[in-house]
Order: sequence, then structure tokens, then C-alpha cells
Amino acid sequence: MRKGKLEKAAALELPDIRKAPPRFLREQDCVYVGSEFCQNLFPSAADVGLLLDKGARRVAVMTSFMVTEGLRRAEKALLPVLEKFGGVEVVVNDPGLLLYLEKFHPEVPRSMGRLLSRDFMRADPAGRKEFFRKHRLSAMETDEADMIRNLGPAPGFRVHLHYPLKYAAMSRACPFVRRTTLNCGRKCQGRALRLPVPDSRREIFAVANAYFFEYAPGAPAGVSRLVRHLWGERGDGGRSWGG
Amino acid sequence: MKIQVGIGSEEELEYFLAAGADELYCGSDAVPGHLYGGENFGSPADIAGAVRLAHRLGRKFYFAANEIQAGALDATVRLVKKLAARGLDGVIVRDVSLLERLKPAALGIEYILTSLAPCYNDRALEFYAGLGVTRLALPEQLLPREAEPLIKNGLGVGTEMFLTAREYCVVLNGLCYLKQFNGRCLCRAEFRPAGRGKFVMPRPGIAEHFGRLYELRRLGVPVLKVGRHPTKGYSRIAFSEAQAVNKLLESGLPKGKFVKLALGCHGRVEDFLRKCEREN
Repeated sequence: MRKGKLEKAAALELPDIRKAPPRFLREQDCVYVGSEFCQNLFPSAADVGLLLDKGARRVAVMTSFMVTEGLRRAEKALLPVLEKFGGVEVVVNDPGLLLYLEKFHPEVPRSMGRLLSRDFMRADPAGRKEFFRKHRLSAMETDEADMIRNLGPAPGFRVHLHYPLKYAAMSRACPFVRRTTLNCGRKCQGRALRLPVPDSRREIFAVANAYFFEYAPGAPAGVSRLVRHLWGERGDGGRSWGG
Repeated sequence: MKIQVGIGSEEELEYFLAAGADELYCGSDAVPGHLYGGENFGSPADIAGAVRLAHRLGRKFYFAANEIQAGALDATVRLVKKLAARGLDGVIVRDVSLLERLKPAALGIEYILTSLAPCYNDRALEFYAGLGVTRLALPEQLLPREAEPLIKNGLGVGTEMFLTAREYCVVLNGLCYLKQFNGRCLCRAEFRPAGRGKFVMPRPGIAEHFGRLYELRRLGVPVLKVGRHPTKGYSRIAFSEAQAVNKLLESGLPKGKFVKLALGCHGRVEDFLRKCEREN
């Protein structure tokens, strides 16, 4: 990790794990995998192991809101990851997973994911700082570049900014399989739907079970890590491994 | 089931008390709340008056502080304490900081976790129960089998649910930013992606909503909820539908028969709404 410098990270979809060139992985301070929006896109220990074998310096596992069965599956999938690979970060959106980590894996580095961060970005500053301290959350993942200045100069945690797609909404029913299910076959991976907004020049993108729009992050102050999501590029699930 | 309804005025308070609402709730302009264009109630004195009136008739009254309280946290805590001292039965909450501030105050009221909060599993409920939550408004998008561990939670936390056949967001409504694009709720829009025909966000049909209601009642959810609405009079119509559907639910019908009759009821309400629209 480059100390004192803005960290560079990439977020991959699961099929990218095999495709990503080692050179690309080595260039990142951290590689994110999984999903902050869909509980069915949890990476396996083999997925994480492959990333590390190919040269990723650090891996962050993104997790979403989960129903009870989804959480049990995540706990089961996470255990071998945490046992085999020290230093894996967990991006937490679900309060139930946060409780699980605190009880059973208190040492695991964890950050607050983009969904939960939406509330905490707007919360009372003292309450927010105390929540992060109490629950040992070292960072806030966000795509709200325009809100970061509201955190003030010393929020008590790092800020990781995700781009180029900014969250707009999510559904429990998946737009790719057209239902709510824990067994979807991950048909969304590598695909993204470009949806022109009626009566507007804007467009939104359906990626997994969430909807986004494209934005440029700029260079806001207070950001420790920039996380580039590859599935955002060209809006069609295409990839470019450069940069 | 008991029926809970959101109100925004004295007129609505009197109407729904007379119509038989078991529980009522309101918000205040002084406190951030999640309100889709409906109305908030008046002053703290007005709310305290509403609480007294509800209690005289044996009903419960709650206060909605169901948004993040940034900048208003201290004021909201003071208001909730004041209302609790005047008999308020509970507060509907989303903000974790608000729960953390209220819990040690030991106000002896219900802390109802809003359906907008991320409480989709048993451990999340344990998390919020640790913050003092005593009742959960089930997130609208949970399937009955997913809600079961939350309903049968063993933590002493009660549950309530919306009449989703009448009020339902296709996306997670507490985390929706779709209106920013053209000022409308995009979740029900028809998109035309290039070369792909039509795309609509997947959503359950009305029959499925009633099927879910039947299952959730069977699992033990005791309270059916009608929210506040921007169109004046709409919540009265939704309340009537809730009463009619509740009567069917409590009559012991098998599921298929219940859904069929509830659909008939819903259809008649839809016809009435269309007629009102034409006449206006």
C-alpha cells in the first residue's frame, strides 16, 4: 500500500477474476470483488485466492443487504476466506453481518458500504464518528463525491470513493432473472443494461439488481482511495484493463 | 389484524378515529420524516392533543421521526421525550443515532423501526433490538419466507406490515434517488433500451401482494399499515380497502379464495379511483 498517497483500487465482477491480467492486479492497492447490492454475488475462497495468486496486494470483499438465508450463506462463504487469507477487508452494508463480524471475527478490517453510508453521510457528526469507532469501521465507501465535504476535515475514518457509476436505486427482484431469488445463476455478470430515461437526455444503467448513472468523481479532498468499477465502462459490461 | 394509519391533519385524525383505526401516527414539520408529499401534523401541543383523543377511545398513537435526523437530532430527542411524557405510545425511527440517544432515556414507549431501515435478517433485527427497537415495520420487498425469521424472532420484537397491494415501491424506497432524472418515480416507467424492446423494473402483481399478505398474517403479523399519501382522501380509500381485506383475512378463508375475493375488492377500489379521476 502506498502510504500518504491516494490509493488506487479496482472493483471486478466475478468473471473478471479469471480474465484480469496479473499486471493490472499488481497495479492496484486493493482489488474489490463481490457486490454491495446483490447477496448472490459473494466470492468464494477460491476466487479470493486466485486474485492473490495473480498478484493482488489486498482484497476487499463487497457485501450487500441480506435476508436470513443469504446471511447464513455469506457467513459460510466468508469463513474460509477469512481463515485462509489474512488482511482481507470486508465492505459491510448489512447490520446483521456487522454484528456477525463483531462477534466472530472482530479483527477483520471492515468498512461501511455505499448503501449504509447513504444514511451515515447525512447523520449527526458526533453520532456518526462514535458509530464508526464503536463498530471499528475504518472507512466509508461512497459514490457521493459531492457530499464528502460535509464530513469535515477529521471524520474519524477514511473515505473511499467509487466511480464511474453512482447509485440511484436497487430492487430485491433482479432485472435479469425477473424475480426475487437466492438461486439466480448469476446471469447479470458481464452484462449491464443501458436504459434511456423517458423525457430526458439522461440514462441509467442496470447492473445486477441496482440502477446507476454515470458521473465523474473529480478530485474531492478527504478521499484516501479511488475505486474504479470496471463494469461501468461503456455501459455494456465491456472491459479495459489499462489505466 | 389491527389497522394503523398515518394522518396529517385534525380532520384526518377525527375521520380515522371514527372509522375505527386501531393505531394512528403522524409526523411534524419540526422533525425530518419520510413523507411522499403528504402532510405533517401541527405543533407538539396539537400532537399531544391527538394522543389524548386517541387514548380516550382506546387507540394507540405514534410519532414518525423516520428519517436521518442530521442537524435536528437534539431537537428530535427533546420532542420525543416531551411527547412521551404526554402519553405518546411510540416513535417510528430510522436513524441509529436517534435510537442510541433515546434508549438510555428509558421512556417506556415503543421504538418502531421503519420499513425503510436495512433490517432483512435475524441478526440485523438483533442489532436493532440491541438499540431498543421493540417493533419492526417489515420492509415491503421481503417475501413471506424471508420475513418468517423476523416475525418469529424470539427477541420479543413485534411486527407490522404495509398493505402493499395499495402501497408498494418497486425499489427500496428508503434508498431511492430515481426522481432526480425527470421529477417522476422511474420505478414504474417503461424504458426503451436500444435494440431490446421494452424494459420495466420487475414487480409483483396484485394477486401476489395479497398472497404475501395472507402468508404474513398466517405467520403472525398483527398490524396492517396504511401510510400517509400526497393526494387528499386517498388514504381514506386505502383504509377502506384495508378494512375490507382484513375482514376477509380474519374470516378463515383458504388462501386461493382469499386472494380472489381481495382482488375483487381491490378492483372495485380501482374503479372508484378511476371514476373520481374522470369526474375531476
